Amino acid sequence: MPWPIDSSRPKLAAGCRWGGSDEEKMILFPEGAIKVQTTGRRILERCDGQNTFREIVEALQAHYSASEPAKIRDDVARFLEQLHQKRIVDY
Amino acid sequence: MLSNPLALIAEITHRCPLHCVYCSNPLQMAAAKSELSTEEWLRVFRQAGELGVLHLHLTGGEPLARADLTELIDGAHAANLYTNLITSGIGLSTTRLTALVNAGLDHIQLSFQDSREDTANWIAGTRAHAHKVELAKAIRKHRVAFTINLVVHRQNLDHLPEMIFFIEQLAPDRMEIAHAQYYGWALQNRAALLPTRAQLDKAVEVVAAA
Repeated sequence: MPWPIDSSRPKLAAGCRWGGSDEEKMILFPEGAIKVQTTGRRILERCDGQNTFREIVEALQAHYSASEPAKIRDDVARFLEQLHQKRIVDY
Repeated sequence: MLSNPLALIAEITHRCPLHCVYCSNPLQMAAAKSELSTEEWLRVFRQAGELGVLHLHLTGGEPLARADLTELIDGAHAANLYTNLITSGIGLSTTRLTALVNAGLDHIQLSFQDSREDTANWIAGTRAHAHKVELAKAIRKHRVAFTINLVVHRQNLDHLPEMIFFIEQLAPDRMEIAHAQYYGWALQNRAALLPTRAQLDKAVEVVAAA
């Protein structure tokens, strides 16, 4: 699967949505659910089809300013690509 | 301590317009008048949501046989449940489909009996196949997860590749190939349904390659 590019606008795929409680947020999809915590949640909450991949990465880089920006970009891309493969995220 | 259940499978009716030879429902089905009421189901869904249940699978019988299905889905959605409709599609017009999706339906699992219309209708004991094909196209126009479930057994396993190709053309998000389960009518008809060892081995190969 291709990685997202700067202009991609990631969003939850059809049939995937938020669920669970505020303390324990989940992404629900057919026959399954994943718990999303801290960084994963920070990324996915920005995947609304409006923010571009670049904007999402910049927000994460600003938040984790002590980390290497290029590594953050790769980590976010890899995370979204994995969810894309599971048909949870579209971009 | 046990953790809370994550899924609720609700058989909301035993009524069904199909008469599949592999039906898993009991031979003596519950009559319509003994079904739980709308209010009772809505209470069950609320309680399930409070228990931490995430997924609700609406099945039967044919869930569409219940006139209050839109209301049930609306209640399940309000209870924060991810709602899956397991259906033959019979009784689902495009208008009703839109109403169910608007009520918060998340996932539709549509069953197919075969790729060939004559054998599909023969297995189901009713002329359902052509309607299912049209319905699959209508479902695709909605933003809802769509799975097609293909029920396999001795009578159709020999043309599994043809059936997989047929389903791919309908463009679901997922395809599930499931063997008939030997309860109810399937157990009665087991001799005609149980595949041979060779059929099974071949089917495993075909599915792995798909």
